[in-house]
Parts: sequence; C-alpha cells; structure tokens
Amino acid sequence: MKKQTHDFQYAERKISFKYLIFLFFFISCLLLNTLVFGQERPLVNKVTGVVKSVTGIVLEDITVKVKNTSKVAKTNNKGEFSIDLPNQNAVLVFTSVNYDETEVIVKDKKILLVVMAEKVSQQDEVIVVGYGKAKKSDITTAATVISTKNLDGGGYSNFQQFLGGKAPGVVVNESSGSEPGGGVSVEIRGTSSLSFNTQPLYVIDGVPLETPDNFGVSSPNANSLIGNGSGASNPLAAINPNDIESISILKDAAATAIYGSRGSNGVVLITTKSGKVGKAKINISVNTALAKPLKTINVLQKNDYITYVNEAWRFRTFMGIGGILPQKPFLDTEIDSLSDYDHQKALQRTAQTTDLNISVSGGNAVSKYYLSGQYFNQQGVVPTTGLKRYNFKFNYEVNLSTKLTLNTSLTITNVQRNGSPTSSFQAAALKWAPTSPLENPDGSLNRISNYLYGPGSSIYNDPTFGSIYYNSRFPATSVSAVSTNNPLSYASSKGVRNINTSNQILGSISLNYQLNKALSVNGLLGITMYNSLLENYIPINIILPFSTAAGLASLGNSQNTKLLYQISGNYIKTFAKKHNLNAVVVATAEKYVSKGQVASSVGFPTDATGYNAIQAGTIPDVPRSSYSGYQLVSSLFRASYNYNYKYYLSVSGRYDGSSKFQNNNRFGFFPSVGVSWRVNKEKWFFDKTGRTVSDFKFKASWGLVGNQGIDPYSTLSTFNTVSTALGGVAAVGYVPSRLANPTLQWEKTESTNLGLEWGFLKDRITFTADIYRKKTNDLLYNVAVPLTSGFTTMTANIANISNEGLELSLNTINVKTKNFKWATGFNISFNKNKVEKLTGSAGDYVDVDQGSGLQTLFRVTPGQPIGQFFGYKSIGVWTNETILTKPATFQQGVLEGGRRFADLNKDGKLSDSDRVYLGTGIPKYTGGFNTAITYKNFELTSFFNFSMGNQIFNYFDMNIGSMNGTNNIRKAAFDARYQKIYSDTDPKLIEAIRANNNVTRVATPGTNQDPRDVCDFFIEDGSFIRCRDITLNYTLPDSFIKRYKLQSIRFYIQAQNIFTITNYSGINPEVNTSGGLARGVDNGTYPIGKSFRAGFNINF
Amino acid sequence: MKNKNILVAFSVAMLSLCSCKKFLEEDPKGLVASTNFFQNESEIIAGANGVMQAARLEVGPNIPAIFFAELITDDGISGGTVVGERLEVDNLNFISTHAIIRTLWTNCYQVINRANNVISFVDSSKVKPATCRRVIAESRFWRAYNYFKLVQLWGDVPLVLEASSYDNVLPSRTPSTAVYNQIIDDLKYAEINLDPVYSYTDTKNGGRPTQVAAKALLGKVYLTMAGKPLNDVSKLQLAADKLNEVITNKATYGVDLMPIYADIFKVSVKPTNKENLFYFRGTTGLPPASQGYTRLKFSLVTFNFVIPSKEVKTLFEVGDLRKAVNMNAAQSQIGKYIDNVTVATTDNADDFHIIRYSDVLMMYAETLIELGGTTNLNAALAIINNVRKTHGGSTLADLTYINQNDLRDKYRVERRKEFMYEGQRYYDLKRWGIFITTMKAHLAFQNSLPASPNYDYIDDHYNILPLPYSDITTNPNLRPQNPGY
Repeated sequence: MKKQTHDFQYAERKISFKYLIFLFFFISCLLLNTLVFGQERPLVNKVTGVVKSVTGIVLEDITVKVKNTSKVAKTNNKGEFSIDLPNQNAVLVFTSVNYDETEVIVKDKKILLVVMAEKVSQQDEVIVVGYGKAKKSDITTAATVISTKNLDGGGYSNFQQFLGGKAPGVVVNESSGSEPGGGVSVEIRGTSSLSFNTQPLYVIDGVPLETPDNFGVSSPNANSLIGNGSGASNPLAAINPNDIESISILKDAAATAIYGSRGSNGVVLITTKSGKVGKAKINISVNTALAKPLKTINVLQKNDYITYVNEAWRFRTFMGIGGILPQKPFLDTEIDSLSDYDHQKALQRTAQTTDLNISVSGGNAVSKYYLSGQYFNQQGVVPTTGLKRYNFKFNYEVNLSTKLTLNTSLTITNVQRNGSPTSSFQAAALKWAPTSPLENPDGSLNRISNYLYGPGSSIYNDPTFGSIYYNSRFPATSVSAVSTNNPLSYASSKGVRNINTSNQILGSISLNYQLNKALSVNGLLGITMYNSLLENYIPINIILPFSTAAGLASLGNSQNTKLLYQISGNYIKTFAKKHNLNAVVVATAEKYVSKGQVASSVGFPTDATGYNAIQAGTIPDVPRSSYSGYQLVSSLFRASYNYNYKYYLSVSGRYDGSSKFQNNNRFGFFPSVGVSWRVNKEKWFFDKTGRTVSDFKFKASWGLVGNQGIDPYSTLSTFNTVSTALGGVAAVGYVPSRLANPTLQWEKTESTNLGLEWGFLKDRITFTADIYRKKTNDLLYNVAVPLTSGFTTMTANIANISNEGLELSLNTINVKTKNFKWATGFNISFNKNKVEKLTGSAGDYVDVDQGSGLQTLFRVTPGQPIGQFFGYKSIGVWTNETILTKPATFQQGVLEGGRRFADLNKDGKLSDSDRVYLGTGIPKYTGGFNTAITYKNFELTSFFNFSMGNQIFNYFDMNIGSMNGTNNIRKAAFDARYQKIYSDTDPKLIEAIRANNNVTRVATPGTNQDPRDVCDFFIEDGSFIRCRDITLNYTLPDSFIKRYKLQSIRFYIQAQNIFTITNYSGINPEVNTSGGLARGVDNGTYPIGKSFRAGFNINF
Repeated sequence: MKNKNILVAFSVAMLSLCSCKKFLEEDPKGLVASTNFFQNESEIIAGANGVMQAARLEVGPNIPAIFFAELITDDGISGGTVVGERLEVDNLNFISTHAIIRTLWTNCYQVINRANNVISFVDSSKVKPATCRRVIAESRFWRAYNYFKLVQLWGDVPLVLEASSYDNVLPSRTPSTAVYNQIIDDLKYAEINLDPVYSYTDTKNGGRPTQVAAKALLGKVYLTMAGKPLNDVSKLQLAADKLNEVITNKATYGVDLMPIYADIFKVSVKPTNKENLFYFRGTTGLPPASQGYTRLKFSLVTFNFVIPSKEVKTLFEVGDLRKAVNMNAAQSQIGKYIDNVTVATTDNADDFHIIRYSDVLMMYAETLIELGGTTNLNAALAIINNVRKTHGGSTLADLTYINQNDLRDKYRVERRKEFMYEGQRYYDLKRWGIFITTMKAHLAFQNSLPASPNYDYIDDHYNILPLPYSDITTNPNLRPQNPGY
C-alpha cells in the first residue's frame, strides 16, 4: 500500500495536475470506504484526531461536527482536534472550504486520522494554457476547454468542424460546406484584423502550427477551371481527431499575450493523447456514414423554361435589338419532343465515409506510450470529391532518471484530397437548360447549355472541338461561339482532375530536468513539415479559356518546414503553506521556410497519362519556383501567484522579434495581467452559503497582443521576373514587384476582460459570464493605392477596430437519478464590432471588392462595423409607364423591366452618393446548445448551433437568377418576373401581370442587361439554427463486458446536419467569407450534406 | 552549486537567442533587392524587357485597349455573349467604375512606373554609355507612348516621372500641354538614341522600339496636338516635317507600302512586311507565361467581343479589296487577325500594328490637307490615291476634290477603310472633333431609333473618359472628376 502511494506521488510530481486529480480521486474513494485507520478501543466519550490532506499536509481550521447535533470543533494549526461524543455510533462530519465533506463513523476508535481530499469540481478541470497547464479555478483570463465528447468517431475530416457553437465567442464557419477537407474559418471574439490572418494560432502539443503559404499552385492558364490552388487541403485536416485529448481556447489578450505577436486572434491549444500508467489499453473504433445533400435549388423545368425563353425572344424582337439569332427558340410543335433533365441530380451522390481507428496505450512508473493509426476515407456529396487520410501517431515518455524525463511525439499523416475544382460547377449545373442534356448521345460532353440545343439536333463539326450537337434551325456560326463549361467537366470522371496529396510530419522531442522540488528546466525541439503536391489535369474534351489547344497538366509542389527551438524554466513552490507561486520563463526561436515549384504544359495528344507525364504536352509553360520564409525570436515569462487559493494574480510578458518588420519596428513587447477572487473560498461566504454555492469567482484581466500576419518581405523594395518575347524568342524582364512600405509595424490588440463564474449544488448548475472590450490598433491592410503608381495595393497600417462583447454559458444537470440523467448546456455570445479610425491614402473609407466582377460590395467607414454591404436601394423595376418619365441621365441605357434603383439624393443621376449601407454579414449573436439524456446504458446527445441577425448577399442567386433569356433560372425568379404587356395580351390577365411584375424583366437572349450593381435586392436574412448532430450511444453492461474481459464497448448511431431552421433561400446559410472584410457573400460553393453514421468503439 | 551552473547556462542560452539580430534579417531569395540592381548590361536590358512586357498587355491577356478603341466607335459593335460592360462602351453610357476603363488606365501607368524605374535606377557608371542610352531611350519611348494614350483618353493626367515609392503615390493632375511637352521631350531623346532599325527576326531586339518608330510616333503626336481639343496649329508643320522625314528615309529604315493589303496581316509574310514600323509581335511556340502572343484572335474573332457595325458593311465600294480583309464574307465577324497558323494554347501568330507605313503616309496627307493650299492639297490627294489604289485595288477610281473640306471628308473615309479595326478610329474621331456627332448618328442608325430623344444623353463630356473611380477615391489630388461623370 505504502509503496503504491509512493509510486503515484512520484508520477504526480513529474507529470501534471491531471494525475494529481486522479490520485485525489483514487485515495479519497479508498479512504471513504475504509474510513478510519487506527486501533480498536473501548467506549469513550471523547475523541481526538488529526486531519491531513491527501498529500500529507496537516489541515488547519477544519470544522468538525457531530452529525445531527450542534457539537462543533475546529482543528488547530497542527491539524488536531478534540470533540465530545454523545454515543459510540456518532458520526463526525468534517467540512472545509477547500476539501470535500468527509464523514467518519467513530465506533470504538479513540484517535482518528482523517484524510480529506481536496474538492474536485469542474473548477479543477485542467486547462492547457500557453507554455503550461493550470487548473480552471486558477485561471484569471478567458480560456475555455471544449469537451471532446463525440469528437472521436464523429467522422470529422477536420477537427475545426467540431468546434462550432461549442464555446461562447468562438464562431466557426464551414465556408466550403461539407467539402471533405475544405476550409473552415474559426473566429474568436470578432474580427480583429482586416484582411491578414483573422484565424487563431493553432498550437499542437506546444508547437505552433504554420498555415502553409502556398499549398501548391496550378498553372495560371487553368485558373478559371481549377482555381488557384483550390485543391489544396487544409493542413489541420492532417490531424486525426481521434488523437485529440483536449482542446483549450484562449480568448482574451491576457491569455494569449504569452503568444505575443501571434495572439491577437486567439489561440487554440490542442493536446494529443498520451499513455497512462496501467495495463496496456487497446481501443478500436469503427464507423461508417452515408451523406446526402441537404438542399437543392428549385430551377425551371422544361415548360417554364420554354415559356421564359420564348418571352425573352419576343421582347427582343419587340425592342428591335439585332444580333445573332434570327430564330424563335422553341416552336410549339417541338415542345413535346423535348426531354426534361434534372442536372442538379447529376452532380450529387450519396457519399460514404469510413473511419477506422486503432490505438494502444499504457505505461508504468518508467515510461508511458500512446500509439495510434487511422484510416479515414470520406467521399464528398459531389462526385469525384473526397478525402483519404492515413495517420500514424506515437507519443512516448520515459523517465531516464528520477530527475530527467524525455518526451517524444511523432505524427505522420498522408492526406489525399480530390477537390472540387471551382466553385462554379453548382451555378453551371443550375444554369444549364433543362431541355439540354449534359452528355451528347455519343457520350461526349455537351457544349450547348441553352435553347441552341434543340429538337432535330444537327452535328456541327468544329475544327477544334469536334462534334457539337445543336438545333439545326440556328446557324452553325452562332453555335460555334458557345463555350459554356459543362458542369460535368468539373465534377465527373470525364472532368478536371484535381488531386492534392500532402504529407505532414509533426515531431517534437523534449527533455525535462527536475533540478529540485520546485524548479525544472525543459528543452524542446519541434519540427513541422508539410509537403504537398497538387496535381491537375484538364482533359482534352474541355475547352480551355483563350485557347484552342487541348489538355492541360499542372504539377504544383510545395515544401514547408518549420523549426522550433525552445528552452524553458518552470518554478512551482508553495511558501508558508498559503503562498502558491508558479512561474515559467521561456526563450524560443522559430524559423519557417516555404518553397513552391510549378510546372505545367498544354496540348496533349491523349488523356492516358495526364499529369503523370507532363512532357507529353506539346507546349510547356515556363516553370516557376518561389521562396519565402520568416524568423521569430522571443523570450517570455509568466508568473502566477495565489494566496491560499483565494486571491490570484497572474502576469505575463513576451518580447518578440520578427523578421517581417524593419529595424525600428522589429521588436515588440506584449504584457498581460490578470487577477481573480474565489469568493467561495472565503470562510464567511462558505459559512453563509454552505453547500449551495460550489463556486463563485470574479476575474479581471488586461493584455496586449500583436498580429504579424503579413507576407514576408513586405517592407522591402524588390524586383521579380517576368517573361516576354523579342524577335519571337522568350526574354526575361525584371520589374518592381511591390510598392514597399518600410514603416510597417505590428497590429496591436489591447483587450480587457471581466468574468464571473458560478457553480451551484456541487456544480450541478454552472454559469459563466464574460464581458470584454478589444481594441486593435495599426491594422494592416492591403490598401488600394492610386493606380498611377503602377501598383494596385500597398500594405499599410491603416485602421483601428474595436470589438465589445458578452459571453454567457449555462450548464445544468436537470435530472439525476440512478438510471436517468438529463443534462443541458447553452452558450451565447454577442459581439459588436466598430471601426474606430481609418487613415492612409484610402481616405475616409475602404471599398472592398469581393472578386465576383461586381462593383465593390463592401465599404468600411469609421464609426461603422466592418463587413457592411454598400450599394443601391432597389425599388422594383422600370415599367412601360415609369421608364418614360425617367431622367435620361438616370440609369442610362436601362430598358423596360430593368431593375430600378432609388435616386436617394434626387440629382437625376445614379452615382456613388445614392449608395447606402445595406446590412452586414456579421451576426448579432451566435451560440450553441446541447442536451444529453442518459438512461441506463443508453445516452442520447444532440447539439445545435445558431447564428442570428446576419445578412447574406446572395451572389449565387444573382448569378443564377440573371435574366438573360438564355440560362435556366430559379423558379422563384421566374414566377415574379416582369412580363411585357403587348397589344395582343389578354386584357383579363393584364392586372394579374402588373401585380406580379417585381423581379426583373425577361431580358434579351445573349445579353445580360441586369445591372451588375450591388443592391439590396439580393440581401437576405442569414439567421439559422442548425442541428449539428444527434447521437445515440449504447454502452454494453459491465456484466457482459467482464465475461469477455473487455473494458468497454460502445455502439452508436449519429445524424449530422439533418435539419436547419432558416429563412435563407440559398443552399447553406453558412456562406463563404473571403477575409476579414468581405463576409456574408454566398458564392454558391460546395453543397452541405446531411449524414447518418453508425459505429462502435471497443476498449480492451 | 550544480543547480547554479545550470541556471547560468540557461540564462546565457536565453540571452544569446534574444541578441541574435542576424537571425532576423530577411533574405528574399526568390526576389532581387531593387537597391542593387541595374548594375550591368544584362540587368538593364532585363529592365527594358520588363517595360516592354507591360506595354504588350495592350494586346495581351486583358486585351482591352484595342477592342475598347473599336467598340466605342462607329466601326464596331458588341457581339458574342454580350455583357453590360461592353454594351456600356458600345452605347457610350459608362461611368467611372467601369472596369475596362480602369484597366486601360492601370496598364498605362504600369508601363510608366516600370520605365521610370529603369530611367531612375540605371547606374550609368557601370554600363557602356551606348547601351545605357539605348535602354533609357527605349524606356522613354514606352513612357511617351503611354502618356500619349493617357492624354488623349483622359485629358489632364498626373505626370509621374519618378519611380513610385512609399511617399510619392499621390500625384496631382498636370495640364495636358505639359504632358504633351514631356512626350515630345521623351520622343526627341528616343529618336536620337534608339537604334535605327532591327530586323524582324533579330532574336535579341526584334520588336523593340526603333528610331523610325519614335519619329513616326512623334509625327502623330504633333498631328494630334494640332487637332482637337488642343488646336495647336503650330504643330502642323512640325508634324509634316517629321512624317516627311520618315518618308524620305524609307529606304534607310527599310519601310514601304506593301503592294497587297491582305499581306500586311498574313503570318507567312510577317518577316518581310515592310509596313511593320511599330508593332507588337505575335509569336507561337512560346510558353504562355511569357505573353509572347497576342490574344486578338480570341477576343475579336472567336468570342466576337467586337463585330462589324451596320455602317461598315456598306462602306466599301465594290471591288475594294480591303473589305474582305476587314471582315468575313458574312460580314458578321472581323476578318483581321485570324491568319493564325498554329492552333495551340494562347499562341497567336498575328502581329498587331501600331503604326504602319501607310499610316505615316496618310498622316502626312492629313497634315497637308490641314496646312491647305493647292500644292499641299494636290500632294495630299496623290498620297491618298496611292494608298487607296495600292491597297484597295487598281480597279478603284481615282479620287478628286472640290475644295479643302471636300478632300478632308474623302480623306477621312479613306483613312477609316485603311485602318479599320486597328485601334485608330477612336483617336481619329477625337482628333477631328466629330466623335460625339458621329456616335449619335451611328447609334441611331445601328439601332434604328431616332437619335433624339434616345441618344440625347450623349453629350460632349464623353469626349474624354472618367478617371477611374478607384483613383478618385484613393487620391484626393485628382479631384474633381472630369466633368459629367
């Protein structure tokens, strides 16, 4: 017994508080069962004894009470007490602020040794904080631990997907829908950066993870088909969610100041699983899921499409607009012979996910190990897309001597991602006429997306593209100019191939030397390698933009290496029993290098070899390579002090030097201070509230952090190469590559946090509230410069932004009986963002282009929040009456039925002063709630998240709803279209038509006269509540398990994303965002899927 | 004791990390620092190549300059899959946010900044003086060419003559006369210091600006100054002299009128095309990234960005050989720039001619007409008839004239036919001061609508373009916007 205790203590000192807690649990259980040590004695009236803690410290001021009487005594400074007993069956109750209530039956014992365990509550949960760990109760800053329940086996291609709605103040946006391995945006407490890096820093087992600069780049010629590097996978998708032990999120500057120049967007700390002392444990987890798209868009079917196109054609004729089409698109006699296709279906499938995971872990007093492997294969709901991951992880800890511990960790991951090439395939499918197939009768891809494909198809032999099927009533010349990209050329086996294979190695080795009981020194060497290969091939049958050559292959290679050296000293000591000090001092240096190479060629005679033999292409592109890197040197410290676990003070500071800035601005200091007061540890409070209030804590903190998320070399004037031609031969030219800004400096975020934590009834009810104010100064932005400089942008520190918010969370166990338990959790956060100042050559505001060929969609102005839509107010359409009274200078060139904008300043012109703020993509509040119902061995959990009060600019709708009389459109747009009233229009229908004329006119085929200007017409409410998952767990009863010598078996079924409550008309209210300023724009990318999963988990 | 040693070692390690200044120096290995570039011959030539690469964007991937200049006139209308942006140019109802207008502006100033970089940073102490002068002359030529475009399109524009840096990005507008003076200055330097002429196949220099290009361009600048809106008639004689200088020395420069109009645009004739006086060369077989190609075929022909207007279909006399070159048989597409031998990605073998020899002749004729007097008018008529009958065909009748106005009108029709779809018409109409009236008539005719009230919105402010909205917002020194926008 004694030896065993010694072993545990030995482990505890070296390892962490986690083991301490484990130890406390273990011993207190033991003691509660055994109750008393000591010799049997005859009946006495008085009993004396000593009260000690689990670790052997004598406990003073413990209340000793005889149960059901008023007799009370206290322990003295040696932990001794003495009390009279009414009878031998009396029960003594020991209570204290910091220790669990302990009952002892005296019986015939004379002298008692009472051991009290320290109170273990949610407040004793250990949080991984920067460069160390701390008990939740000891934390003075805003830091949250996310429960990893249901993370393993949840089929997540990327653990970020799991974070949404789990913690207040953390807003997760799956911007690319359910695309396997697609990008996920995580924002903590609003945006504190304009366009550079709004994402938190991810730290995996103490090593900050770098987001690779260039995932691999494709050929510039292929961009419109492939997208620039869009096939790249998210490096966080290389982490196996099953390996994650804990996730801590540091939110305020006081918590993240220890990460200095990278802390302003918050920090997400991931700790991976490690071995525990005990017998070897084997865990096998298997699950499989089926996913289907959640929603489709209702577009026109055959008859409506024909009506629409013929109306457009009539309008065109009426307006006397000439052009390429002499024919009426559809004759009444042909309609019956036309087919009616559903192209959305062709681009969707039921996708399967398989997740196999095995891990082995164990340990003894000398060493501990954790070993795991994963095979994860997720298909996307769009054909050809998917993600495959092979992951291997090894964590090993060995005590080389009683003082020296070696810790190693190695993760090797191979991820192969088949990406969706561009975001336009969805729009392409929706716009494709229902009367025109995607595939020709001979199996080739159809090139004609509209009415030009018709009955009595003729074959036009294009010299470049071969057979083109078309409606023979139209001239072949009008057909030959059609170059629409068939959606199958993006998302089918006949289409573009876009494969990103990445290999990631995360490795670290650390040595910890325990100098004495209080002081330890630790050296860490971390290495992160992320190498990726992006392979693209565009088959011969697909038209390349601006080209007649067929077949394009491109290879983009990138190598990203990060080295981390770190040496730290850690001092933990308790002085005079009540003064607890924990200090850490760290010096660290990081070096990051990113290299990229691209080679591509075009003009392939066959699709047989594709990107595996780019030399088969007849025209090679100029090969390109790039280099970029930066270095960061830092020293930092943190000291946490508390007096008797009541009053806490914590200070930290980091001195960072970054190579990205020049001399005067190279170094920055980022300090923080935090205080807290655990009121429930006050005796007077405890005496008054007793057991009712289990936790009551105030905290306040202040900190300063930075953001250095700009490209390296931004402060240097440099030349780069271009290629031109002289006399028909390629020649190299050197040109200025950027407008350098030597004055660049860090973005600085100062934040203050006030927090309150409450726990009632042994933490059956817990409540937390935090209010914060963040002010970010010197925001970096690629500010537009006058084009007369020969450049379009320059990086500059131009703005100040503030974020204010409130975060609340409430967790309750509503019902708790032997067999039944019901618990719920709810969190909500409010954030208010405001631009305080905007300077620089941009003038009073910055207009943000969101890159869709639209007029600038956003405007940033001081006094307003960022991400505000800015444009015209639409007031219906021009009718045949109103257009006659329109000033000639207002909306020049618009025709009857065209969208009508409000002339807000009444000057008869449509100008910038008629544009107003139209809403914002930033939600007013976000959050999540969950419930867990346990009945015997069944557990039913569900989780919802929500976002309220944000608007969406439905660019996708604008795109597919463009009434050009050619493309297919949304049914809703068709139903509300403008209908011209002609002289032969049935008079009975005129009123009905007038009443319905509110969207836009049916335009003329081949033209697109819808105003491209941004207006409120396409802005919708984007609020939603989404059921993220519902999981039913069944754990086999112990009786069964023991028979087979197992530890546990769990079966589960899970449904993810099964429903979403929203008024938003698009596919997914979680829309794309592109950077800090442009948000809430639906570009219509990958569809969101709902999935059903079944799996099991066995522990041996 | 032992502990102390470790503490000391630990502190030293920390300090050494912090003091490691060299560790934080940036080394942009893939880029060249501008402070120590342009030190030797190949570096300064690479600088000049960089200027040229930007200049070529006029016919490169963004191809706006050429189709804009055709779309906006009465020769071309918007075809193909029409988008509003092109229609706005076609119908003259663009505003300052127009993307094509922004691109035109951007491209010009990008060339100018690159040229300014070369001119400012070339270290003349380390490079052969002749090479140094030539590279500077080349850069000044490109700068002049782009300022000439800018001043014609926008009027008073910022005259930026220094390499852009952090503290000089907010220039003010300079009166157009001062811009013209700088253009003349640059071209005068260029015509002395550029090489006289390069062979078409010279793999080191073919396609670089030459003396003859500088002289012809200078003649055009003088002629333009003499026309609207400057009306500086004192430049007429200068124009005549400069253009005549090219004509009299045509043998020296190896330029002359091509006997067959169609040959000018034939890829097979390119190396011996004597009209090639200032051109962007189309190439094949080069990697796409080198932009050694023109994308004229794709923008003008394959995608029908610009198609022939109603008027031009009936413009040519019967037997005029130029009609079949300028448009296809169905009169539905432009016919130039389609003689593309290799059909491969982004390859386009067609050259684009900025100044042809016949342009020099015709401009000379124009100066003579404007100078007036029977001798000049007769000489002008002879030139016009020469070009007309050489290129249009010998079956065409000789033109005659009644008076100066009559000859001027006839000249203008001939010029239109000769240079159709070569990016000239827009500037011609502006120089002649008839852009607005012509466009009103054209749109009314094209769309079969009465000019009034349908095209009443087209007023004089459309004579120049709006400054790009983005520059008006980012640079307060550019305000106010051109009137009317």
